[in-house]
Amino acid sequence: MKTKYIIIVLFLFAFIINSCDKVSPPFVEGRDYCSGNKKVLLEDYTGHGCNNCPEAAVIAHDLQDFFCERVVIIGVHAGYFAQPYLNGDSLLSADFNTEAGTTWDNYFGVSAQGNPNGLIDRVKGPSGYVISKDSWAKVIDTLLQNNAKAMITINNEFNIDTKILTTSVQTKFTEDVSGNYKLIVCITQDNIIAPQLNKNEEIGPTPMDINYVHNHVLRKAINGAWGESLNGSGTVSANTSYDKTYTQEFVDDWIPKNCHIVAFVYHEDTKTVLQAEELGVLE
Amino acid sequence: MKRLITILIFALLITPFVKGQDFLSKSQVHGSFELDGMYYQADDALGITDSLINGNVFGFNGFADIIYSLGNFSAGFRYEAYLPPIAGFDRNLEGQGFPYLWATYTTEKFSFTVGNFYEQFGNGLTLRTYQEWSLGYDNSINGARVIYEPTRGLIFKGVYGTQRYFWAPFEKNGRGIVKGFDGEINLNDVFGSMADSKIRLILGGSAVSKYQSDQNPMYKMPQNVASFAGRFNLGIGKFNFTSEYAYKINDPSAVNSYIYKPGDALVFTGSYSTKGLGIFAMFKRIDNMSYKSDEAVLSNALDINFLPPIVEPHTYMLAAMYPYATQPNGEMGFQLQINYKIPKKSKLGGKYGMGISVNYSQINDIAREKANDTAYIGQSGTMGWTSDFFKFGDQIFNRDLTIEIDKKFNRRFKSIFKYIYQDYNIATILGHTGEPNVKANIAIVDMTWKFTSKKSIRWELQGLWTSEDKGDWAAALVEYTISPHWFFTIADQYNYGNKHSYEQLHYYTGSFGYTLKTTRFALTYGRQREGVVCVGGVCRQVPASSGFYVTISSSF
Repeated sequence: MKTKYIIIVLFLFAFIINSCDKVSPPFVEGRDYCSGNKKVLLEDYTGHGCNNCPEAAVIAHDLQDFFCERVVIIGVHAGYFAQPYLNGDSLLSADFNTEAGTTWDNYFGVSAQGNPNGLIDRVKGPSGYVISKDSWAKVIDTLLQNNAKAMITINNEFNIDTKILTTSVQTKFTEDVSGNYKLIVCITQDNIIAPQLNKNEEIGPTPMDINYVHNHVLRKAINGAWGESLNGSGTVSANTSYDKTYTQEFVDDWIPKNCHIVAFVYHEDTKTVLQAEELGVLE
Repeated sequence: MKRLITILIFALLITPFVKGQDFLSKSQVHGSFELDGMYYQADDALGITDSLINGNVFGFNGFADIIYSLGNFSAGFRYEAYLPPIAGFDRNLEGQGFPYLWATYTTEKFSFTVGNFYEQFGNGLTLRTYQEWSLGYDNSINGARVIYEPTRGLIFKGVYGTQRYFWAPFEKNGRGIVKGFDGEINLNDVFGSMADSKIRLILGGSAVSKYQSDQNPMYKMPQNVASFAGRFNLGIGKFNFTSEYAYKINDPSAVNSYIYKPGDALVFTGSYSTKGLGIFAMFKRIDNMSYKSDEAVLSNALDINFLPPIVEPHTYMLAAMYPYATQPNGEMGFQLQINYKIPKKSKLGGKYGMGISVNYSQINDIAREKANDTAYIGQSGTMGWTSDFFKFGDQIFNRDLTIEIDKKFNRRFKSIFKYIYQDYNIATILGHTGEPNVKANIAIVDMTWKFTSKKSIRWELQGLWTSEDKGDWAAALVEYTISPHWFFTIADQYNYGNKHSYEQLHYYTGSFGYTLKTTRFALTYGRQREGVVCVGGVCRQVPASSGFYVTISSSF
């Protein structure tokens, strides 16, 4: 009788022991992401009062490298942690909030779930649109397996004298699609030095890095928070192109050499981004 | 809902085996429910403006637990609603539905459960699923469980399923599948020769594994992660010793920043108990023991195991200001508690005796060294760190000395005096990076005067003195009770020592409640200070709020 119990126990422990995968180094995957035409939009919702946000910014940057520059990043400063003079701190005087960023944040409820958090191509999963930084890689990997249903080409002309940018964005669909597709064109800026709370000593001084370098900071959505419709409605056939041109006068804080145009096309109903593209203002 | 229908059909299928009159006379239905509502109002002093509330003036959490039993069969469900969740609860809880549905059939030796269930192996180091309403926490398993007790003192348990993640259904390539086995033998029960022994010994062991498909593009993920534990419970006369050691293989996750070192945990307790004296000691060491069924989840969800706390849980207003949250990536500590009852009719004890309790606990970080020369401690995609098992880290996470004296002076008047010293690592536990440890002295006096057998008044005076964080606090509470139905309470917490004069605020509340048998109603109006609520070392942040709070609960 006792032998029977011993056999049961040994069998069940063997069953579990068999459920062990010991991984040997190297632990980092070595996949090739440099082929493929799909690009993914990563919106990193952040704020200078969020001490976990520098880690998310590092992750976003690493993902851009890891996925062979097929990730387009927008740093959206919105919500509680992005308030200027947060908690009365005069060092946190910068205001990177934008009308578009706040509109998106309210619609998708990102900062309401805490910072840092993000949107990836604005896809909606079982728990909603908001995706935590540690799930970004997984979602991006999945999306990059697809072919792009549209290709975006950006041409920028910047007049140094007038400080006026003329950006032309061509969207060419590569597959038949249906629905109302809209184009959003934004300006982002790198290399902005301003104080940022930080808790990771590997990234910079803690608890505040007064010389923190903010990258991909959303400055403005040139054609509005929800952009402009390309096709109105109905279906779009493959190889159909739409050309849009916008002009934007730069304010003094926007350093042209550090600025980029980010353009992305999305489906009006689902908000899902079809394709994204980025080009330096002076490129 | 489909699962609810399935369970009801199952219930109906077995009913033909029961005679009609038996069905009615032997059926039993039990249940409980609770409704918590919050009405928010703007409060400029707390920084709560109408624009911040933005029309969301109500928060509502509610549940109803219903259990039906008939002979060996029982089944039940829990309805939950968070519409929207009260401030401080995870926003992912928003919604309503039946997240907990189950049916159990029990025979003399077997118990079968399908649907959702809660289970614990040993101390929980490898598996513990539970629900804690005050945290909005529920990691129940949805699947099947078999319990087999072939003879008295010998018990086997097996579980298989997926865990609850708020309202998200299980999907392929989503969160992991959990399977586990536990065996326990009580030697005194199984072996007749030990039945009357003064030595009592229980041995147990468990093994748990999770399967989650590798969807991580950056790291090579182990798809099957197992953990094992062995434990004993030894009683020798008035002494009792328990211990459990658990080991987990490589489990890179968001919690440990994707490091690949194995984890382990040790819990050891010893106690001595005799009339008037109780001594309890505990040692705990945790190294990389977060164990979740989804590698990417950071929030309080999908925990497979539980890491027991070793800190005195405080309930008084100011004593609970700095609660300790278990650090699953590594902590090492001990606790010692002595309870002594000074006998009646002694010089100090007086007519009714006097109770003295001393509790000291300390938790440090574990000592960590680089795993190799080319990686920093905790670097993602490496072995993370190495650690000497018996060496405490330099960083103190928490120290707590609590001395309590309870004394009944006469048949009308009794009181509790309490002194607490806390050394609290606010940078690690609450993420206040760069801030020094909070060193706080807390004194509490709690007195009760009984006017009659039904009417009594209780008042508390509390002080918390610290030069860190928000500085000094004072608190007072007066509660008038008319048993068994009514209570009326007013309380205030005053942050008079805050270095910012505009933050020297009163957090006042007034409340009353009415209880009728098992039904309780309570209404509170006032301010709630920003803070942390912890149960068993698991915590949630609570924002400051102002307004009305109502709660109704009942059971039948």
